[in-house]
Amino acid sequence: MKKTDSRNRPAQGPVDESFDPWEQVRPVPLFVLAVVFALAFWGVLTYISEYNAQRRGLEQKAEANLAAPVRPVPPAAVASLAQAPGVANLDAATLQMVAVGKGQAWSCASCHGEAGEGNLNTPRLAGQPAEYLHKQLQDFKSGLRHNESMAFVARALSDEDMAKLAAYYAGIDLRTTTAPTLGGDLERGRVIAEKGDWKTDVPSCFSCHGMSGEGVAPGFPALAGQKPDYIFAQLAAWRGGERKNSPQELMDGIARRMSFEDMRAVADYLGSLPPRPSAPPLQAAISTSTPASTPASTPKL
Amino acid sequence: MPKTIGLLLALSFTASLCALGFLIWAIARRQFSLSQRDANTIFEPGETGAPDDPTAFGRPHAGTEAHRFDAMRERIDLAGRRTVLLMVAVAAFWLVLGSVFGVIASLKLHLPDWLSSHAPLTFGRVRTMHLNLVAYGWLSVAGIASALWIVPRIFHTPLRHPGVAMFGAMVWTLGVGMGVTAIALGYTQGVEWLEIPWQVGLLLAVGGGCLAFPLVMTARHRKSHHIYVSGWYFLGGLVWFPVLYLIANLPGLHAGVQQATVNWWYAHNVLGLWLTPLGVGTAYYLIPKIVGQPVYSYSLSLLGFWGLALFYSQVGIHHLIGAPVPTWLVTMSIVHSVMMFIPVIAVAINQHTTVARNAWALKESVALRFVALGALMYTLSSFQGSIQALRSVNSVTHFTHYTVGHAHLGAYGFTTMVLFGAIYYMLPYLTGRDWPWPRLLKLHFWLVVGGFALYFFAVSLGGWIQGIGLLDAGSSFEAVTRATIPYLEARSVGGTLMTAGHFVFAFHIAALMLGKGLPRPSHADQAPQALNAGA
Amino acid sequence: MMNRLIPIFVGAIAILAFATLMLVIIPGAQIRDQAPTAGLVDYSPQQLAGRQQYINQGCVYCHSQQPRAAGQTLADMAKGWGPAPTASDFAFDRPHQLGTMRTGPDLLNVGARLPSRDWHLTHLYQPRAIFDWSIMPAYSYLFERKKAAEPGDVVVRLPPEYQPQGEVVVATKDALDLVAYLQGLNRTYQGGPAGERVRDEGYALSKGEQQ
Repeated sequence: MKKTDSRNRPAQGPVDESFDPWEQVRPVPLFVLAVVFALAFWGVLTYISEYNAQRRGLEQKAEANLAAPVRPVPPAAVASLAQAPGVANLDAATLQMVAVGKGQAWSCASCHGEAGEGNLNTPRLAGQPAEYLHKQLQDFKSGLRHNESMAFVARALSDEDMAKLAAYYAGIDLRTTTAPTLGGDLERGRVIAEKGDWKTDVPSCFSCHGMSGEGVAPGFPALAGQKPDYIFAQLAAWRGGERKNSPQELMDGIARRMSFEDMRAVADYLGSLPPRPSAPPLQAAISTSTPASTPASTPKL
Repeated sequence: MPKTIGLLLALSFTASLCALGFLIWAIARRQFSLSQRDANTIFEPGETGAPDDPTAFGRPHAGTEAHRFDAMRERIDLAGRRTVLLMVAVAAFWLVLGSVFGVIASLKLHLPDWLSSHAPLTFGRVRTMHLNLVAYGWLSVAGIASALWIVPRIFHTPLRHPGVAMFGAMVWTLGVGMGVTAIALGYTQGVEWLEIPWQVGLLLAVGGGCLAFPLVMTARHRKSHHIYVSGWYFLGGLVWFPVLYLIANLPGLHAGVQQATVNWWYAHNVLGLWLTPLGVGTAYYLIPKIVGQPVYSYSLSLLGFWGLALFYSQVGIHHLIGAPVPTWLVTMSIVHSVMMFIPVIAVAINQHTTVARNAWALKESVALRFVALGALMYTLSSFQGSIQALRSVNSVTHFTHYTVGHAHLGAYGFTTMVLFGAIYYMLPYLTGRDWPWPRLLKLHFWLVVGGFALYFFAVSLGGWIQGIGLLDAGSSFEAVTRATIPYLEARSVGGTLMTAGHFVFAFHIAALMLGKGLPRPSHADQAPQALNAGA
Repeated sequence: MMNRLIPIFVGAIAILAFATLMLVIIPGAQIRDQAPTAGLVDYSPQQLAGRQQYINQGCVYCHSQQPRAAGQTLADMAKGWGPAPTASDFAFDRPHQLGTMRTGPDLLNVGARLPSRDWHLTHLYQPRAIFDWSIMPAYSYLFERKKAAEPGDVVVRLPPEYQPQGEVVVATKDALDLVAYLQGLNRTYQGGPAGERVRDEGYALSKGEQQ
């Protein structure tokens, strides 16, 4: 099977039987050539642009590495979680609920941690205002706040159980810190937390949640030291309409006016703040003139 | 990106482009000595202009065309006849079983507590059994059967070593059966498309080798001057699939993310360098054969074949966009995915123009309807795939049911439809009898076309909605799931219609093979010169 | 050239070899060059047994293990699926279970998001006990029903509508192994300097920002 020598040699032998007068002179349609060329050109441009972008990105990373210190690794799980003040302060029934579970409800610690420190987007409970925790449990049970796992748990709890658990977790004074996990812009987060963004009608977080984000009982939970993934998830849920139990729809409106990038920034910033015990209820603060009127044995509510 | 990696990326792209450029130059300079005359390899002298489908008009013996018979080619069919018939029967059985498992899996997606008390029927296993049965049981077996039948015809010489092919078919079938049983019992390699444990995979390797050997031998002893385009595709596929299967299944070699790249290099190349050649090769033979005209532009088929080889082989990583794999690798696959427009357009021009110019044949030949529809779906699914590989689109469709729709558009809308047509065309020649109830061909056609249309639109729309929901940070997983349920239900309806069509198909094949159907006129005593020509 | 077998075979093999080089060998070398991420530990024997359960039940066909990076979308982060992994996070995965479907949520960090063993046991036994909209299969065959729990048995907590009458549901070893594996799925550690992270950064790059 030899290759036919089909170069243009003058009159070589008999008429070419394979010649078809109706076949195009160029066997490959121009249209196809044009598409090939266009695609090749596009491919080259794409390649060049991505290669350049990646090179620039690497250069920026190298600069950033020189400028800023290595991203801090969070402290290893505090061995003394179980020794945080308040963790052991509970009666037998509450211990049962927290460590083992009750009825269909799983143990609180199995998700929220042995000291209520939380994990990823499971919230930190330690040091939250007791009334706030109690209300959330009631809202889970009634369905006003939508979370299937917490609803499952809350259905097994009586109101008295809820009060005991809320008081227990409120009394835990946990000082472990959390590093930012979302890659958010911490500076932007700080600005929103301290000053808000009045161009988009977003008030500062601290104007309600305490001057250092420590929370204000009964209605404003502590944000300082809360899990960043949790804060972000809740802000997104308010914005998307998945969470609807904020009094006066305060958070619904605020979240709708925030961009997701801002939510990410503020969540990281708030999470990285050192946790503080939350402020006492407003009424208590007004009626009592000195902090010494609170019991000395348990830390601040 | 390290400089060496960047350079290699540039090398890959440049090499592919250069090869393509060389190819186009060579075609333009007639270096390939490929002419339109070569497209007539599949016709006997004087046959062009006369359509050929033994079941034209939906009934046998319509007009002189259906009588036209090629004594030489009937003789050529004889050697591989029993092997091909066995494989068609086995393939039809796997199709029916695989389709039933597919419907069960689909139903479980919206009826999750149905049949959930036993492990072999859990969704994760039923879905896997469905995939392996239709990919290695139906598509591969029917595709090889089609190749075993077409290859002797394009090479004008009987199949060599048909006994080896028969043995290979049995070993392959055993491998598929054991593999699927293993999956049902929980023995799986855990990697998509590669679930069959390698110990059973050895059976597939041996069986496949035994099936490839006769085809290569037949090719070596060919009597035709030119290797028709279907031959390139079949031979290419026969070379590619064993290499892919071997490398992907080597035990202990792959782990972690590196295994993920092997996974999708393998799985996507099984589609494009194994199933696609089987389907496109079959379509390239059947479309011109049935209408009686050569393909539109034969030299374009060169571009289609080598373009497929060059570009398709590197698209696999578009299954891993956004995954923990190197960026350059993903970009390379995306670029090659878009470059796939070239060979697909080449094949489309050839096949669709040939059909469009002879559209009257669609009314008369159900086999052509299947094959032409399949060829059209090839074009559409490839275009869809190229666009799906772009990051902006992929961001929506990745991880959703939309991808499932695309996979079925290719493997079902294209390859399966073409093989339906091939079987409807081949079997009257092989059995010597006409289809007993030609109306069942049309019933099958409308069941699967209607069912698949419903399936595809349900799953694509539902998947797109799912994808948009998954990208919305404010939306919950519950909302996304609830939104997809009606589409999953519609998909079950579509899948049931398709499966009903398969039952009709399998029943009809069984009836034909068991002796029903009028015998076709025997032309064993036809003109002697036909017998002597190139036998 | 197309009339001879050898050029066709050689051409086909050469092209596939080139593709194998580009898609398998070179990325493999680049990925294998990466040490496992600092902080990543190999699976314990129980977790390995559980991982085998995960594979045998076909969990990968509905669940992915590769949350998307912030450069592409913040939606994965909002669901608490955790930070986007790099290739080094999968160093001990044989076989990989990256997954290509999200009929169910991403599970790479499910051990951080849902660390409770009892939650997983309830959910595996009957997902609709918790999520009424769930389409996940029930894995009741991974559990036993007994008249009374024996010492050492782990009883599954169920709501009244799914609790079998007069019986307790006890987890088998397979179920406990699987849950141990799920509890171990946690790649939220943040280790080391932001050096070469082997993952697809194409989305961030095409938006012109850095993650």
